Order: sequence, then structure tokens, then C-alpha cells
Amino acid sequence: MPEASYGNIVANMPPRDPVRLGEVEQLVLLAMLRLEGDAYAVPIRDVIERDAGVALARGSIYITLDRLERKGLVESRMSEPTPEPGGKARRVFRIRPSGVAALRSARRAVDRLAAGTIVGRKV
Amino acid sequence: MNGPLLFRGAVRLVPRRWRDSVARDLLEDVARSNRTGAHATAWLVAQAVSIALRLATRSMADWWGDRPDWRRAADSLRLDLRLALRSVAHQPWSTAALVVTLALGMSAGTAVFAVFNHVLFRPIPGIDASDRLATVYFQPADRHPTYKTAPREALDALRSARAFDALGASSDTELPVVARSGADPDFVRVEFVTDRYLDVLGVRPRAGRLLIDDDVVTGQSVAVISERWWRRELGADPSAIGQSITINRHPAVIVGVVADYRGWGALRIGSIDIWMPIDTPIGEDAVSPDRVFSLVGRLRPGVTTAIAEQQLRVPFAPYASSMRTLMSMGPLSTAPAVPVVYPGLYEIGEEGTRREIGQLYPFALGASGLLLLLGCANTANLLLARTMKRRRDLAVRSAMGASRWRLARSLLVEAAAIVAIAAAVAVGLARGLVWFTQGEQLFDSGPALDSVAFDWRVLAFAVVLGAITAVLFGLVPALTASRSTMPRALAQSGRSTRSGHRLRATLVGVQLALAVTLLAGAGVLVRSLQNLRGVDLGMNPDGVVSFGLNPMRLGYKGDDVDALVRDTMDRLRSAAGVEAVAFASPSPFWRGFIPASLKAEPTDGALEHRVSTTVVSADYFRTLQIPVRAGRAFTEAEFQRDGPKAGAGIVSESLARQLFGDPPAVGRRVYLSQSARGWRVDRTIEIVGVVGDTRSGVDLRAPGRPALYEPTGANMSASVFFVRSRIPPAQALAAARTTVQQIDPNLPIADAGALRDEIDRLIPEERVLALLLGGVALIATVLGVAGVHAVIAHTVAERTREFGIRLALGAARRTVLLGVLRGVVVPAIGGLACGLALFAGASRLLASRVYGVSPTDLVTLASVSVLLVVVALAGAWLPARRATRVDPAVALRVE
Repeated sequence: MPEASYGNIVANMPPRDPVRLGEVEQLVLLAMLRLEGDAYAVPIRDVIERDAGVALARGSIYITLDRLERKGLVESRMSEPTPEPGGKARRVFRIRPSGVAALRSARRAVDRLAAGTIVGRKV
Repeated sequence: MNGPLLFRGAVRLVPRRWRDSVARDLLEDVARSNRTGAHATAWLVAQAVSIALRLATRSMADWWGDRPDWRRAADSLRLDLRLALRSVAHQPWSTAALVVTLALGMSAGTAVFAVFNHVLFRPIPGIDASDRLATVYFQPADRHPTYKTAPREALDALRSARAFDALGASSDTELPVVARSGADPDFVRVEFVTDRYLDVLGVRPRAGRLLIDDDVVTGQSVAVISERWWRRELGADPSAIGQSITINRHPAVIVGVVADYRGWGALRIGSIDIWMPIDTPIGEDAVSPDRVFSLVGRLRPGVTTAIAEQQLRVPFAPYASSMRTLMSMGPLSTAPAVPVVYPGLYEIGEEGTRREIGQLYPFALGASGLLLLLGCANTANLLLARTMKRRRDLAVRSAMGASRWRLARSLLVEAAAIVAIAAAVAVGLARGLVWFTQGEQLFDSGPALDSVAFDWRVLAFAVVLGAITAVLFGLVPALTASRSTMPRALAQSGRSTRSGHRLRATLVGVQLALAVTLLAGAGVLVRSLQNLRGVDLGMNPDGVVSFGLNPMRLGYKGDDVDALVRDTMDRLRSAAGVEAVAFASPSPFWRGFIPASLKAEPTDGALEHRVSTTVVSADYFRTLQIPVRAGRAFTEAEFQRDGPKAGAGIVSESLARQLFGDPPAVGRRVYLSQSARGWRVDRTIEIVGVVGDTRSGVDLRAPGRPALYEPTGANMSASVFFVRSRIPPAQALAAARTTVQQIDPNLPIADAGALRDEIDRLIPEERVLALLLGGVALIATVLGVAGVHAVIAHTVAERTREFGIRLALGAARRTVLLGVLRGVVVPAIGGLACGLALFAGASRLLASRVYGVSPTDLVTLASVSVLLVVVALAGAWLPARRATRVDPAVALRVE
């Protein structure tokens, strides 16, 4: 006979961090910080590839931007369409203060854990 | 620039939210790269597709991840399914019992539905867009009677109606056909068609070609044959096209084979195997080309039958008055006929076949519905017992936080799994049941059931039935079990609860109630069938065989026919074992009759009587053993084709009373006036004898109709020979066949059989109903007994300890046994009472279907009640005895 029900196990778990960032999310947010102002998929991908040396699939950039927006860390709007018949508008993103905060807390968590280890920053 | 066309197409796969951005981004990227032309296009398309795929899968995963309640529901359903399958597999015997019980319950309903689905709803095979077909009939304003025949010129006039794409007509009849030279002739239904008729139907050729309008208009002796006949008679030989066959002694060339189509709608009697133009020598011989029998049209799309009717009215007006003379029998209406358009290809007016089948259907479905309910009650009971064993397990899960709904659901899933298995078995069983009905006629003028298809409707029906069943029988145990709480369940584990016991007793009561309802219905129907079989026909059909001849179709005319009839009778008389031979025309078992009006002389002021007339040979009354009450029978000399105008006549008792009252009828004269098929006869007849009344014709329930027998003027078309012999019917028929073959090897004998069987064929509905309800009631009884057995066995198993203690304390085995049996008697009595009440309510439905017995016949009801109590007790007996055999020491060690 099991000792505890599913409900009990869930109830006793520590509260979850409200915003956690995955690695790709951190990369995208950092790239947006570097780009300053409005950013969209092409330059974001370029910056990450150039400065971090990580080549991301194009599709995953879009997915990540979607997810960040849903988490409330970035906001998007449609740009002006290209000046031609049937010209296309583009979704452009701007990082929100909460995004910056989340990035900071993620960095701090990594730093705290790394402190005193061989990968930790020298103090 | 929006990129190449292929790329624009590929980009459309990307969700709208990102579509334009992706397009712009990719174009920007490709512009920066050194890709050009086709290379660039290929790269763009590949990238667009890959992004689209990635977005689609990820967004699905995100969506799923955002809905933990859905994911949890799916997980728990998976868990339920696993538990259900484990439970099904771990209790194979109990599962098998459940599956068999349910499958039996469901199979009857499925079989009934399959049969009626076949007859009522099956689309006509081999026909295109049959929903646009319409059949044209002609009826007076009071809609009675319905004329099927119309003058041929009317067809041309009616074609001016724009409601129809095309109109065609046909006449069909049975003709002797020789498929291969040297083969025996066989009667085949041949449809003679006007131009466009086959186009209207929209049939397709399987081989060769169809009749073209040119064949029909110029009257070529060409024929197309049905696929069925092609396979059966010609072995599906492709070289049959171009071959000549003999139809009614004329040659005709086969030009094609019609795919699948086998004649009119499902209710049509006999299927058509040959189609040929109406204006041919064969057609002129067999049917009158100046009249057409079946008028079929293909409606223009969107046109209703009401519009079509309206449009036909004006062009038909000139022919309205001529319809009267075309009508061959039945009461005549004075109102002019108007065209009536019925949707589809249904033959109507044949003694209301649709009405009959419409009555039969709910009845059969109701009976099988009761059986299903019974199966559900039984299964609920079995499942309840099964659930009780798992009460502890359920209580533990409940204590661990599983909600009541959660527990109920897991039991429902288990029920659904069992139903799914049972439904599959039920469809198989239903197929078996339907196989039994193969060749049975569902109603007396209907076609024999063959190749009843299990189409998607039947499967859908079984699935819906299964879903209802799962809820019905799964819900009760689920709700009951989910009520158990931890302390109660643990405290009571292994022992019965009062409420659980009461519930199961109630279910047994319900089962017995349903079983007694079905048994009572079956009992009443079987008694009614016996009554009908044993009804005093006024004659003795045992030892008599009958058969028909159709010499006119072979071209016999006038005196030839007469000679043939005499020759046949003479030769038959001298055959071994034959006692008497008789001829009658029309057959007393023919559905139709030739009406005549009769007045006693002196005719002034005498009442007119409508009677049926039959021409009979001298030995008719002796052969069928119809008693001669007064006067004499006919003599051999009187039986002539062209007798004197003032002939002799014999009347039935009831007619004699109607005509003359009490004074003797023999020696009186009557004036007869008769018109049929365009001819009219008036003559005076002298009554030479009075014979007993016979029941004949369609309805064995009706008292014998007033009959006038004459010795002259035989009409061969519905005639019949009767042979009374001392030898078995099969031998007598073989002798008859040989005799006829000796006279004319081309002459087939038709409708041959023992007269007793012939009479049985007049009551097919009663037979089918009694068979159906009898079978259902039998299954119901078996299920009921199985239910009783299961419940008692379970009770005994639960109370083993109690019995052990009681026996150890010195209780008499008898007392224990009676105590257990009492557990059956109470629900049995309650069930019986409810069942009988239910039956009393439902018996109104039976009232019109039973003969010579009240639908609430006390003897039947009493005997089925006693029967059911006895079998219920028998079902309880074995497990109850087990209770008395309990060894106290063993019982106390249990648990």
C-alpha cells in the first residue's frame, strides 16, 4: 500500500520559481539587450551566432520569442510593411523590465552555484 | 518582392502569427547570401517548411504543456484503461460470462436491425442516384384504389412534364426461358421496357451493352440479362454476349449484362433477370404493349414529387377516364384518376406491404430491446459481484484521495472495454442469427431474405447499442462501489452489505420481469400460431400436393389448354398411390380473386352479393375432402371449357344462407355478372349442390368467404392442380413432374409443394414473429436463470462463514437451504408481478396479431409464470445446496 497520495506529494513540494529561463531563452534575451531597441529574428540569430558562437535553428528563434512573450518578458508589435504592393509587416520585439530582471536572477543563480568552484568567477 | 511562387506557397504552412515575419526574414537572409535562382528558391522553400514544422510541433507541445488538467485527464484515462485491461485479463471466466451475456443481449437487436435495415433502407444495388427516381401511379381523389397500369399513349403525353429528366415504362411477367439449347425451360421474370426506361433507372453494364433506344424503338429481339442470371445460368461466360436464348419459344440475342441491379425496390417480389424491348413478338405475346405497368421517372435535380404531380396532371387528363377499364379487379371508384408520384422505386398497393412491415419492425425491435435491457441487468449484476470483490481496493484508492468520480470512471472504463469486446462478438452472433433467416419471407408478399448485408448502419447501430449498454450496466456498479468508504469497506470486506444485496436482488427481479414479459409474448404468439395452423380449413390439406402449370405462356390456346388439363389429370389419376386429382382456377390460395356479383332469381329487388368464383373439376370436393352438404358435386361431363351458358353451380353454405336463407338452395337459380380484364359475362346458374365453407385466400383468420364454384370457363393463369395420394409429398410431386414432362417436355411446373406448406406460407408473419419472439424469450430465460444462479452463488460464497457457524451451532441443513432459496423467491415474485403488469400494458400491441387466444390469456400467463419460478429455483438450487455442504471448520478458517 503506498504511503502517500499524489495530492500529498504535490502539496509538500517547494514552491516553483515563478520565472525560469532556459539556455536558448537566455541567449535570445541577451542578444536583444545587445541589439537595443526593436529586434527581430534575423539580427538576433546573427548576434548569437557571431558573439556567442552558437548557431540556432531559425524556427527555434520564433518559438523562443513566442514563449518569452507569453511569460511576459518581452513585448511585440508589428512593424511598418515594406513599401511595395503586398508588402509585408514584421513582428518586432522589445525586452521588458521583467525580462531584464529574469535575466539578472538567472545570472545570479548561476554565479551563486559556480562560486568557489573551478568555473566560478575569481573574487 | 514577395519571393518565388513555390516559396509563397510553402510560407503559407507557417502559422499566421509568424507568416509575414518569416517570409520577410528568409528573403532578407537569402538576399545576403550568395544563393540565386533555383538554388535560392530551393533553400527558401526548405527553410519555410522546416520552420513551419518546428512551430507546429512546438506550439502543440506548448499548448499541451499549458493544460495540465488535460494532460492529467489523458494520463488517468490511460491508467484506467490499463487497470481495466488487467482486470479483464485477470478474471477470464468472469469476463467471458460478462461478454457472453452482453453479446447475447446485443445480438438480437443487431440482427433485427440488420434484417429491417436490409429490407427498408438498403439502397437498390446497381442504380445511380436512386434518390432522384420516382414512381408514377394513378389514383382517384380518394386515393383508392391505386392503378399501376396506364395506356401506352399516356406515357408520351406525360413526357411533356418538365419535372422529369426522363420517363420510361415497363411491363414484367414470368416466361419460360431456355438459357442454352437442350436445357430445360425455366420460368424467369422478364421486364419489357419502353425506350429510355433503363436510362431512367441508371443501370450500368457489366459486360456488353445496355438496350439502346434504337433497339427499343425499332423493336429488335435483343435482351440484356441480370448479372445474377448470367453467373447462375451461363457461368459468367463472356461469350454469352451475342448468344441466342429462347424466351417463350422465340429467339432473342443477348447483347449485354446489367451490373448488380436485380429489379425494383426491396419490396418487389421476385427479381428481374431479363430486360427486352416491349414492341417485339415476345413482348406482344406476353404483355399487351398498348398498356404499361410500371412508370418510372428521373426527377430533375431539386424538383419535388409534389411539383411533378402537378405537372403531370394536365397531360394526363385525357386518359383519366380510360383508367377504369384497365383496372382488372377490386372495387371501382367513380372519381377520375390523377397521377400520383412516389419518391423512389417502391411498389405500393400490394396489400400494404409497407404498412405490414412498418408494424413488424417496432415490434421486433421492442422485443430485442427488452432482451438487451435484460442483458444489461444481468451484466450489471455480474459486474456488481465482481466490483464487490474489489471493494477493498477501491476503498484504499478512495482513502488515498481518489475522488468518487475518479473511481466511478475507472469502473466505467472497464465496462466500456467489456462492451467493446461484447459488441464485436454480438456482430458475429447477429450474422449467425441472420443466416438462420436466410430464405425466410418476412411478410407474405415480400421477397425472401437473402444476402442481408451488414453495412455501416448495422455497425453504427451496434456501436450505439454498446455505448448505451456500457452506461446502463456500468453505471450502477460504478455508483454503488464509489460510495464505499475506507472504514466500512475494511470492516465489511468479504461480507455482504445489506444495500448491495438489496440492489442485486432488485436486478434479479428486473431480469425476471423482462424475461416473463418476453416469455408471455412468445407464449401467446406460439399459441396463436398453433391456432392458425389448427384452424378448421373446411378441407383436409394433409396428403395433398399442389402445383401449377402455365401452358398459355408456351403458346397453348383454347382447346389445347383444355386437352392438356384433361390429359394431365387422367395420367395423374393412374399414377401409383394417387387417390384423387382435381383442378381449380383460380387457386383458392391465390391472393387475388375474380369478383362477381350475384343475385338470386327472381332478380327484381334481390340483394346483390359480391362473391369469388372458382372453376373446379369434378373431383375437387372429393380431393380436398370438402363435405357436400346438399345436392351433388360436379360430374366429369360438366367440366368443360365451353360449357352451356346456363351452367351448373355449387355454392358454399354461407353463400347459400346469404342468398336464400333457410330454404334449400339446390334447384334454385342465380344470376351472375362478372367483368374482368376487359371482358364481361352475364349468365344464369342453377345451383346443383351446397358444400361446406372453406377458409382460403390470404387471411386464415377470416371466416370462409362466400364462394361460387363452376365447372366451366377455366382461366389457366392462376390455376392449380391438387393430387391426393397415399405416398409422401416428395414422391407425389416427382410423379407429377414426370407426368407433365411426358406430355410436354417444355412445360415447367410451378409453385409445387405440399398443400400444408402452402398454407403455412400464408402466415409467414406469424411464423417469423413467433420464431423471433420465441428465440428472444429463450435467450431471456437462459440469461435470467444465469442471473439468478450467479447472485445466489455469490451470496452463498459471501455468507460461507455464517452458514458454517449456523451449521456448527446445530442448524438444520434444510433451514439453511430454505433460507437461501427465500432470497430468490422474493425477487422472483416481485419480478413476476412487474413483468406481468408490463406485459398487460404491452399486450395491446399483440391484440391485432393473435388468433383464437386473448393476448392476456390466463393459461399462458400462468404457465410461463410457473415455468419461470421453477427455472429460477432450479438456478438457485445448486449454489444453495453448496451452502448446506459447508464444513464448519473450513468455513471458519476462511479469511
